[in-house]
Amino acid sequence: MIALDNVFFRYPARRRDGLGDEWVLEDISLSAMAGEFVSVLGPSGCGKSTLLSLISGLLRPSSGKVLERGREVTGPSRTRVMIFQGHLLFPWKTAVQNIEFVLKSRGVARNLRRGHALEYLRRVKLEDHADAFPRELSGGMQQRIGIARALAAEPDVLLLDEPFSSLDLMTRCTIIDELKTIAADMNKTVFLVTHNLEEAFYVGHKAYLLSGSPGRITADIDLTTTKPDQLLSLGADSGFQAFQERVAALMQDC
Amino acid sequence: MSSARRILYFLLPFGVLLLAWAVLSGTGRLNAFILPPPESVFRALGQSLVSGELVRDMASSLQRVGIGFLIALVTAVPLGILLGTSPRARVLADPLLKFLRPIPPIAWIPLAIVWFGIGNGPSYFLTMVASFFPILTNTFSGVEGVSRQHMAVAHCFQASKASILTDIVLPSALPMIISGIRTGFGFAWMAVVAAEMIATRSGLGYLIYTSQDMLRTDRVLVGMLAIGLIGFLVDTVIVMARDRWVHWGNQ
Ligand SMILES: Nc1ncnc2c1ncn2[C@@H]1O[C@H](COP(=O)(O)OP(=O)(O)O)[C@@H](O)[C@H]1O
Ligand SMILES: [Mg+2]
Repeated sequence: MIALDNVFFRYPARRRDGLGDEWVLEDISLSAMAGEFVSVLGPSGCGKSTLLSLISGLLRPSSGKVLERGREVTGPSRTRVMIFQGHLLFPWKTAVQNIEFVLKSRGVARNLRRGHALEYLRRVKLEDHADAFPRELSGGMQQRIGIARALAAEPDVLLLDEPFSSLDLMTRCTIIDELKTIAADMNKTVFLVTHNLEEAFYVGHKAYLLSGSPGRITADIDLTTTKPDQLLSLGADSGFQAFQERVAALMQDC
Repeated sequence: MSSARRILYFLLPFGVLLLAWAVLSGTGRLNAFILPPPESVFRALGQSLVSGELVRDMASSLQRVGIGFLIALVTAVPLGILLGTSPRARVLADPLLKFLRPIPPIAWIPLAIVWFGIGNGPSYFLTMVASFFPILTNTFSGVEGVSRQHMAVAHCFQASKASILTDIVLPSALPMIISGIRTGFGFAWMAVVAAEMIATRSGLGYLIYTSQDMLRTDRVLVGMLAIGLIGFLVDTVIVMARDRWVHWGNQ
């Protein structure tokens, strides 16, 4: 389980006059249980990727705390794994080798790695493409290998940064269902950053809405209790800003 | 391009050069010493092939360049990786390297002879010096250019330092290292010919140098042909190997 307590973050100032070092994230508090699927929504540049990096431990908060099972996160760990925006597979490694890389980091013996790696590929239905290089595979296949690679770390928490944004609709639907099943079966906590409301509401148990400059949480929605028709009427038109206001209003009604 | 056309394009410039050469020396205005006609160069080529002399010279040049180049490779690649990964090492070494780099290999010849005597020593040293810097600087930029995002992936999975080196840094720097190897071999090949003119009694440089003394410009040209041919072949082999195994270079 993951919790953020009053997290503030800014990137180290690049300019001496101190301009350009505003807070990227301001006073973020949130939590997610094991098995919970959390969607994070917000306009581009509002700090969603930064938020995931903080949870992963690749970045440290400027103040406040990131906690995993009550213990402060001080650096990256295989228990919290990112599935990166874009294709960040290693192009010099085949599908199965990309996964073996993670198994090696986990200390799996050399002679067992390939067998294990194929197991993870099977979970995303790509065992037939084990020996293909990423560039020989479609965007959707690459993204599924990214998921398999993350699963190979046997993490408790999966962090997905707009993983589906470059995929066509059909592929996206398949992968979202696959991911939902995997996460539920394996009792993982999943954070999904997305622009897409349907996506966020379909898979999420909970959604956080962020506003930009500085990034703040403007609403959190319990998707298990909020009625679908309430949600659908929210995102239909007139932009994200209006949507956020309506969501905030809805939250007060609840 | 069709392969027939490719072969044509490949041969055409050589054909033009040969034709121009034949025409120029056929006018009779230039005597055979200044520009020997193609047929006398090919005759000299045939003779030196039959006598085994040319093959011997090629072999000794290649052996020298091979050793010097290998020494450069096994020192410059690790050093380039060190400089690319450790800011402290970079700050320490950078001024000295920038100072040494502009000194051309041939400027080292006198010292090389004093240090290593007449024989293969100076050639090993000069070819090493010549290929060291291109390999070093290319390895360094290759390592510096490793994608931050790939490094983030590695940190995210808590990969060990050794694994980051062999699974990420080396493969992503490899295309650049190969460019360094190509340039470095080219430089070393030029340097060995220079070294052989002064410090040895065999090799293509020696062949050219002694032929000039004997007023045999046809044999000088035979030596030059052999140098060009070997340089071409080695580079072709490197490029073929790269295209076969290193397909992620242009990403
Ligand atoms: N490495 C960085 N250094 C400085 N500023 C950054 C860096 N990465 C992102 N930012 C800034 O932080 C803000 C949030 O970025 P990001 O987390 O990528 O937003 P999102 O993922 O929501 O689009 C942006 O204003 C961006 O310019
Ligand atoms: Mg982002």
